Amino acid sequence: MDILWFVLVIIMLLAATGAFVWMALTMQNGGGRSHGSDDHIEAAQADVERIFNDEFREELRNRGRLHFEKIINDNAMFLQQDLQLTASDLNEYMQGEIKKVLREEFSKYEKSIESAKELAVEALHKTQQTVEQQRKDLSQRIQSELAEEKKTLLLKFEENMGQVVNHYILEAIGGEIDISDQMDYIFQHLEDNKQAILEDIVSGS
Amino acid sequence: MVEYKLSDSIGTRTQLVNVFENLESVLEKNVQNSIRAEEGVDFEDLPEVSSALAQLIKDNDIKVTTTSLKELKTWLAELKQSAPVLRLTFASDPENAIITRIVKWFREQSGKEVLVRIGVQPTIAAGCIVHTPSHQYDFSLRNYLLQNTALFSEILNEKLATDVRDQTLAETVVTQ
Repeated sequence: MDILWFVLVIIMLLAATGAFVWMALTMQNGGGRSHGSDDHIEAAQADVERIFNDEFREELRNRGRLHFEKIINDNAMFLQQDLQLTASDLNEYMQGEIKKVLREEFSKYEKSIESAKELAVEALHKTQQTVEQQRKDLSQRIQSELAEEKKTLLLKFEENMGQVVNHYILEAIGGEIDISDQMDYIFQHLEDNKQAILEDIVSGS
Repeated sequence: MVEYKLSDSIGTRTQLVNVFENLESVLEKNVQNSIRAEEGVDFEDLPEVSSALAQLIKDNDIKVTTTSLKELKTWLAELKQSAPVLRLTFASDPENAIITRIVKWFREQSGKEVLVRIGVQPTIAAGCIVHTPSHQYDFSLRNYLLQNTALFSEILNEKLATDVRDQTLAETVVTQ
């Protein structure tokens, strides 16, 4: 609205200026025709000079400047308000867009995290199962080896213990048994092996 | 060749050699005494006759003449070469009576004039080891124990099982 007024004022000023310029030119062209017209023209020019003197022009300029400043200020205010509103809208829009994008990205991120978590849990579960299986295998193997080792040690113990006892018996009774008391034992064995011994004697003689 | 029977008391090859050498000595002195008698020397060197040789002559009822003794010597020399010899190992040195008893058994069973060699090995503890020309028969206590080492293990296991049963039973009684 103010801009419209400002434009109208400018147009009016330009129209008035144009009218004066046209009148001055008309009067100048008609001066040669009559002396009275020249007087009128000069009088009009004088009046114009008197009415539109420097002070009046300065006043008009000042009024125009002030009005222009007022219009500028008003428009600047409106522009500022519009700018603030636009900035506010833009801010809200940006916030909304950013929130939307962030929400989407967070959703994707959550899905990725969830997927990675599932994968990690699955891998962990598999690892746990593998470790458990390996532990069972190892336990069984160790138990088997322990049983085998125990059996081997027991056998060795029995063998060695038998030898130890035999050695002890031989050392304890060696030379203590009279040969006369052994004769029944010796003859029993000779009788048991008589055939083989006699064959050896016959074949060796 | 006249066959004789070797006395049971002559059981070892050493004894046989001793008898043979004793018989040689007797024969040699007989020859010397005969020569002295022919020469008119009033000296007679009487030979020493061992108890084994005397027993051999007695067992075979030999009429002692130079000829019969020479025949005996020939037989003993042949026996020295051909008689089967067994080696017997004992834990300690056996008495002669024991050797005689064993030699008598071998000779009765085989029908041959078996001779023996005696060895001593205290580690066998008891019994004996008989070495024939081709085999060895170990009748020692050591061999018996070694062959029955498994028996020791069985007895040990039975004993352990019995102990475990007794312990379990005792624990059950205490629990009740």
